[in-house]
Amino acid sequence: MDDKVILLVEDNPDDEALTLRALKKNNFMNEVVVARDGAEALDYLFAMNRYAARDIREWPAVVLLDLKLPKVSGLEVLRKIRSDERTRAMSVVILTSSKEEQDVTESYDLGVNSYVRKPVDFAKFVEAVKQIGLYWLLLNEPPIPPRRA
Amino acid sequence: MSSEPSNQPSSGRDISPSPVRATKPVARSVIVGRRIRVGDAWAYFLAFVLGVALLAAFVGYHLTSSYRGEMAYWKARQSSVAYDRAQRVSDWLNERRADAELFSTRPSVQDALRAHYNSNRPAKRPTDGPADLTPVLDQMARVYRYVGVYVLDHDAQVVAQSSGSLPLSPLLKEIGQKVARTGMFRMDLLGDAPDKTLASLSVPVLPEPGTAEARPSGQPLGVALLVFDAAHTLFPLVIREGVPTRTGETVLVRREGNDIVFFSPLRHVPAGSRSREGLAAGLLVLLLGGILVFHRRHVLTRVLKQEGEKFRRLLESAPDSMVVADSEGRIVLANFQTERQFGHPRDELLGQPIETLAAERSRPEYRERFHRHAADLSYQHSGPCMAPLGLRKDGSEFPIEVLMTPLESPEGVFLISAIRDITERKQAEETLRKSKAALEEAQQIAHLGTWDLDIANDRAWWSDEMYRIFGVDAESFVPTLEASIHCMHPDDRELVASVLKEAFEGAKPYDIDYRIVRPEGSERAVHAEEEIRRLNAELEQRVVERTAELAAANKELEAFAYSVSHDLRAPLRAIDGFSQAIVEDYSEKLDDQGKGYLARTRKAAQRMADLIDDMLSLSRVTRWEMQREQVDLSALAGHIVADLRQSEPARNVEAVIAGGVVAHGDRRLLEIALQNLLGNAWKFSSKQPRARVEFGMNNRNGQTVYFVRDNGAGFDMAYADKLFGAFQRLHAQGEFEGTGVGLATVQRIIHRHGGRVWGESAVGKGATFSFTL
Repeated sequence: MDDKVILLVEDNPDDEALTLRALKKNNFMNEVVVARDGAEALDYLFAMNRYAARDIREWPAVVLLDLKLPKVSGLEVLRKIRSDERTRAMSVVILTSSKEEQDVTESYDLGVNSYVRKPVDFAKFVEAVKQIGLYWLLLNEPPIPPRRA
Repeated sequence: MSSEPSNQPSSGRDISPSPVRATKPVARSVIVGRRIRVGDAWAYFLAFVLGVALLAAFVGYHLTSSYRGEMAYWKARQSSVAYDRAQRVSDWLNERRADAELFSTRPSVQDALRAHYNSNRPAKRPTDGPADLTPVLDQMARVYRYVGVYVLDHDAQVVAQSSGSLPLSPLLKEIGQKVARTGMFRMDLLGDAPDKTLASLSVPVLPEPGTAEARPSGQPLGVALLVFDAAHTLFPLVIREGVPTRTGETVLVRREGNDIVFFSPLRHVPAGSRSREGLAAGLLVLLLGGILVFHRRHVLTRVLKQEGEKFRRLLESAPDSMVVADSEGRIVLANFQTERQFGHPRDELLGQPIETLAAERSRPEYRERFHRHAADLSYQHSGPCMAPLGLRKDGSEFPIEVLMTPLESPEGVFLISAIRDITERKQAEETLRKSKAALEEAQQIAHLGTWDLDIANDRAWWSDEMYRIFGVDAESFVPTLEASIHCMHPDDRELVASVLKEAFEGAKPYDIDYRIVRPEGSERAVHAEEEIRRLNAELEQRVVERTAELAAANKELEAFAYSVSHDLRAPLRAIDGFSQAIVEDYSEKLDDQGKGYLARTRKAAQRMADLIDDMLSLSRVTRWEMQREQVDLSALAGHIVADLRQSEPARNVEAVIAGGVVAHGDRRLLEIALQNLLGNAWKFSSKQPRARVEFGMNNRNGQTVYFVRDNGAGFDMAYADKLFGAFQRLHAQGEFEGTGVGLATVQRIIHRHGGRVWGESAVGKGATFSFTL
């Protein structure tokens, strides 16, 4: 599973660094693609603009998606993923600060696979990332992208 | 019962003969016309008594309402008894008469009489007659418990008699002659035996139609005479049958012209009456020619039928439950509404203690009030209403209001309780209370104070928020107009005073901004809108506006909370995360002090995260849309304690959770409130070797109070007012952890339910937090 990439959608460079550090501390060696806003995430996923050369059928092992993002919000990104035939079955985990009920409810309404709140305590954050990685990168049998592009 | 017994049809032949007068010492008789149905005759007797009593009602026109109540009581008791007994007596008499008539038509009796007449002539069949009849008479006497059975000829000569019976007495002979002459059935009392109450039934023996007769046509052949002891046959019916009574007397009475005749020789044999199982027989209320004649003994029963009926109808149609109880507190009368409201059939209630109708915990109060009334009649009409709980047959309780009115009567004191179901009123009061609480809260959130001024008396009413805005103490500050103006900035006073004056005089609304100076010296700008309330519509309009403003404020708060939730935590995560990274990656370059500082940095970041979380949860509690339902608080408390145990398995805490505690409220909010209260109890008892946490419910002044108790550190009651303030803490962080938001959250939840929450404690003595909903 090491060959598969992880798409991290995160606008906060601190959180980005901490997430990468947490992945590293847990010895996940997957390539991590970082999208710094919702629009960039959509470009990557749907192989548009600077990612136009990418094969849309190469799904990341998991999308770690923040909710509060510049340009296009995390929920909007999720909605686009779920409403497109080509990306519908993709594994998406919300990784965010908020545990506001409306966020949790809407995320699940839109069909998110998991919702994880980032703990302030870094040790706990590392543990959370470890669990996410163990599950989505190792344990979970990934969905198969549709053949036709 | 027929009220017109005299109109019963009777043939000319059936004219009643003169009865034996009561004034005559020899005998007292009841004469019953042959064709008049005996039942109607008795009905007539009773109707007469009732009629007499009605006249007495006129005489006693001045009688008080309590007297009427008494009448109703006795009437209810007696009328059923009287009716029942009259019916039994009537039935019994009919049966005996039928027996006697049947007996008189027996061929053997008729044959014996014919033989008797024949034998008086030249004897044709001397062997026939009495000798053959004796076994028949004996059998009859045995079966029907007759003292004697006689067959007499038309001159009352004994033709045959049952063996063992006394020789025919002169009185019986006289009766026999009368029956032979008139051909009428009759019943007589034979007051001639000292230890017996003998009575006789006499029936003419009429010849079978078409037979050759020894007697002139239409004349009876003879008389059949049955003597019985009323003490063994008739009286038991009256005394014991139906409704047993030890004190009630029974009237069997009939008016004959100006005399009264009554079927109760015991009245005239006092010694005899007392010897009969304490029977006190015969009660008489007699009115002759407008003269009230009272019986010399107690008048136990006064039947005022019409008055009683009126009272009964009044009672039945009352919207409240009406219950009459005797001085012992036993129910003697209850109306239909009682049946409906309490679900007890009336029969079940009679004789029960009055507190049967009260809920268990209201009973002592109920009883106490009852006995005060019973002991002191001056309580009449002045007794304040009490508000206990009623108890239905199915065990459900409901709030009631009881007004007790005592009735004094010769038989003792009775109390009429008017019991009203006040469930709806209570609910209305509760709704009002809650909407008031909601308004207070709304004002608090909107920082909107309101005040009313009674211009004439210079007395003002301030809403709670007014005191907060002005920064004055609600206990000590008296909000007169002058005092209000005194609170204002000196430069603005004149302006406000003139505007107010104009408003008062011209009844014009105003809209001004001014400054106030709070007691501690700070200035505040205040916007005041004032209007003299003329129309409620304006007020309603304002409510609509304020509601919209509140909704907008709420939305803003929500946006704020959302932002805090997302943005405020990220920097903290960075502080914590990178501090940890330094510790991990550069530990060899740091001395212990440097590591210590980083540890503190991390700890502070985490505490701030906790504060943010609690603040958010507090705001969430406010924003949460409430949905009320039945909530099993016992179960919630059980789960919370189980979670607490799991979080700190090393601790040994005794948890006492009362079962079956339910409340009507929002499940989620109540759970948060209990989490905070039980969490506190758990936390603050952590330094006790034998920690104890308790959840339960009790009742204070009719209100359900829920409580969470611990035996932990407690707090000083001097700071009790600070308990529920957000971020207020009564313990050092090092002593007990916490953000000081828990109780503020609890308070907000309880307030949103329209309830109250308070804490009681002493340092080191544990704490009890109670709340109502």
